[in-house]
Amino acid sequence: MINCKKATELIELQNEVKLSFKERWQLKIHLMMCKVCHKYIDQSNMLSLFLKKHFALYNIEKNFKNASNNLKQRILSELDKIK
Amino acid sequence: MNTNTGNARNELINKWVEDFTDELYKWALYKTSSKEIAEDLVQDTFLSAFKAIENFKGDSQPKTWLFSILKNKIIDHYRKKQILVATTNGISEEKGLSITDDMFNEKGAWSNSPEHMVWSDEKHLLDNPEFNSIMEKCMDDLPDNWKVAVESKYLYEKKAEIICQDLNVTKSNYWQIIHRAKLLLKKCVEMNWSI
Repeated sequence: MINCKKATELIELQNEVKLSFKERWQLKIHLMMCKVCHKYIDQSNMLSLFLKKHFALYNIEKNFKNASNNLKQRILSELDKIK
Repeated sequence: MNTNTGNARNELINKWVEDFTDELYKWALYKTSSKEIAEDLVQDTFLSAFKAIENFKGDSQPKTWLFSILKNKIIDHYRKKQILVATTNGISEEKGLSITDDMFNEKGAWSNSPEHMVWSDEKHLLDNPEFNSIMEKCMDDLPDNWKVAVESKYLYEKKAEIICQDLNVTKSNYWQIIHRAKLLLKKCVEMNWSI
């Protein structure tokens, strides 16, 4: 039997890797009996959604690639002045 | 200085500009929320790095070194403006571990089992300004190392292998960090929820 602490660890881990057969069973059985951990799945997903949204601002900036390339050119020419 | 080392230095710094500007710039944008300031700070970072390139020993990754220079530039920038910067607000890792340990009893079961009311209106939570501002604060409270792991995962969408290299931790360490960071965010948001 696994406890809630271990169960939440497996819940997070299964987003990253495929759990082993044993781990999947352990988690499944735990979740059948533990409502709180069952709820934790939704809460954890909600936190992930927040984090994705929080950072999305900086990823979807359409002109980022352009802006970054311009910045690179600017830095390289500034560097040339002091080389 | 002989010309060979001079050339090598010039090539090295140019390569770093090519390789790391994107990430430094993204991070600076995120920290300063200003395109102009972020660009100036990243440029200053490379200029400082070039002047101090002799001090780069190669025992850390160039990226780690550049990030530490940028981090100081950001702190300086905010110090000048007399504003506290988020990068230094994190709690210690020990404290993070002990808070998340305390979420479970000695048998590893939840020590506080009734569902917190913050989660009851789940569907609309992300549209709730209170939830968002609490989460921003909770993000800042994460221990620095955990914050970097979370940022790498969700901001840069990096693969686990790369994040482990950057943080110099094993994969199972990294998963532990993500697990603990999620628990700490849950705890923090529940503690700060007042409605």
